[in-house]
Amino acid sequence: MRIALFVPCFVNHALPQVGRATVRLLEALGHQVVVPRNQTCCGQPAFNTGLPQEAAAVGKTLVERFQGEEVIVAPSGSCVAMVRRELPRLLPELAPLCNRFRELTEFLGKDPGVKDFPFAPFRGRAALHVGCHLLRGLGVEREPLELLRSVEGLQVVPLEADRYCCGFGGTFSVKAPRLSTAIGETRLAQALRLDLDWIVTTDPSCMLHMEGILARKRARTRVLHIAQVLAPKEEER
Amino acid sequence: MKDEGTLQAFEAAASDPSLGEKVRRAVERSVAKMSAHLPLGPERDALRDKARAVRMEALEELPELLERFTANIEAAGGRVHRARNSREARETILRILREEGARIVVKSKSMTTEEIGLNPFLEEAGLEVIETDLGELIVQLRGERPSHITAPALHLSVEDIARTFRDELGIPPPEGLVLEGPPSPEEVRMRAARELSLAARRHLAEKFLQGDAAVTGANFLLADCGAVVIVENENNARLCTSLPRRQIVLAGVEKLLPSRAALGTLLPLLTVTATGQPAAGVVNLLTPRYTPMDVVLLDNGRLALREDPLFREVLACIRCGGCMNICPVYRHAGGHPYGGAYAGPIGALLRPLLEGLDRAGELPFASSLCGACSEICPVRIPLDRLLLELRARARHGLLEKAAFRAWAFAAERPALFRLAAAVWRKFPFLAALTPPGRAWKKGRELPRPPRESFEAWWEKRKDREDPRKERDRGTEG
Repeated sequence: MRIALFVPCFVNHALPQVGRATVRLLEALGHQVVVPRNQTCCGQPAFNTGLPQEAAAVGKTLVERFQGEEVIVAPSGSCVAMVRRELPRLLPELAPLCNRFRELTEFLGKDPGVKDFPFAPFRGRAALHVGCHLLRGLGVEREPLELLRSVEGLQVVPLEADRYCCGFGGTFSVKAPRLSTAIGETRLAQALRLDLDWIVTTDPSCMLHMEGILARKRARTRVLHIAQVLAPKEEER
Repeated sequence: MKDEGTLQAFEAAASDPSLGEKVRRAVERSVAKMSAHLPLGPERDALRDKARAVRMEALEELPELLERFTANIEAAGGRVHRARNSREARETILRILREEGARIVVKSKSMTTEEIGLNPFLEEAGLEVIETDLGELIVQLRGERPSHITAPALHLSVEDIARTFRDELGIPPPEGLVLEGPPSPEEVRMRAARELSLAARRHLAEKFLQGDAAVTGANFLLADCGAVVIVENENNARLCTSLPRRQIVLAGVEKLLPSRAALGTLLPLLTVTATGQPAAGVVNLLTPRYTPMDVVLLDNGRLALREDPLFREVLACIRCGGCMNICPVYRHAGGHPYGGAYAGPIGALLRPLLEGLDRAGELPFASSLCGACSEICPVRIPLDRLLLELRARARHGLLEKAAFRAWAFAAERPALFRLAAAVWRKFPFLAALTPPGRAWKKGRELPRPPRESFEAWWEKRKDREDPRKERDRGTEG
């Protein structure tokens, strides 16, 4: 299947490894990946700050890059929620195109051909963090866990706070940084007590925030995007 | 708290980890009990749909319901007063108390009296006001505001409360309870909590008998039978409304329900979401037949809010407190930073909507928009969506607006966007100098820039692996 990859702006520039893993994963599953040029941002930062006009202009530019594509996938529930849930109201003429955007695990979960990930043996104990925009915004709850559980060698440990927010919240993370960080620390507390190897998340934005907290704490636990776990390992270059 | 209602107040509260620990301990218990009795899922959603329909219909028919309720109260010998704002409500209540010759006023829990600032007003007028709900009594003794609408003192530990009772009521701390230093074993603390509540009961027993009049709130007002509904667990509302000579009920105009049938739909969801109880300890249905009753109906912006098609549903709230129990922001900052009677996501909506965005415009930003509140709300108010809508109505600083304009300008010009990212890759320390970068670094490390962007990698890879570049050319760019 031909898949157009939507690469969120901060994946492009801050977490390219997530984009690369998504490409490797989709190609390993036999898909043809294309990356429309000149993608920037979906407009969410402005939208969540209460500036819908600024958001609409930016969102329009992004969505139009995918004109003509049938299947559009992104490794972020947050950005997809922005495109699918918010942009159609701001840009009604682009609604049909907006509705074609899928988050990665949502897309894989709907594919009956995807059962296991033989190319992804992964050692260690991990907790799953599903971003709130994927979980509650798009209603995708089962798929990420099922995908992760199918990875050989990975032990997925359920945590008490599994359905809780990590505290990132977009511009909230810098408007109320101490609060944002405190929420994140609570979200991660049990994983740290259990000395887990990995926090696996569906959202690169949550990843940036949780990584930042763990790095400050000099914790051993690392955050990975789910694509990095499911995909064939990156070749040394 | 000096910066009440601002993000600064939330930041200050979140900087005290012991506060969050106390709050989480209390609310997690309620949420766990709720999940045991009525977990999230289709069954719960069906009940929520019904409850929502009941509330939205009641709001639609509000003028008729108010009329019918008033007629029924008056037919039973009570009086109904309308107050357009807090001042009118306070003055009406004081007038009634003066008529009655009251000196001592006993109160049962009411967030609406908190909203109008009743206690300080009555005290200034020379009356003695006694809160009889245990949690309310505790915060009253401490000179604080309730931090939760159904559990006003949940931000306090048993040690905090023992100190307050010692200092304000002269009640010696329970034996064995360590007040300073490492906390006592859990069973000692549990026993101490029981002892303290019994001590409060002895203190209050006298007050109930001395009370000349009672001021209460109301969970609902029933139009069909002219009754005031008060849901409680401690029996204090019962004593307040039966021992003193007169009962004054203060309630927001939106509390009207058409009938007992409507009440039947809402009650189980109210209690289970509030505290995890499948049924309330006591449900009082009060009419003026036995104790003379005055009902003060407070508008204070509600009727105008009812005309706002987008935000009307905020008035459907049945004040269960579920949204605060589940809210990550509330769980780390408690209720006081909201700076009003109502905390949590519902408070972040109500205060700006009722008092104006110029007074509480930062509250809608005190949310990570995680949506847990909307998922738990028994009447399905889409709280996170409405917070987002309210952000769009809030005033934005010039600097912030300019920053977003610049960002939008760049986002529409990919070359410029790329250039900005390239500058960051070259000079990563610049990020730490920007205001957002400085804020980020308060508790987190900034990400280190990668060697190359995804798109640079992609272009190189395509050149390397796919010399027939024509294949994708038609669809890209």
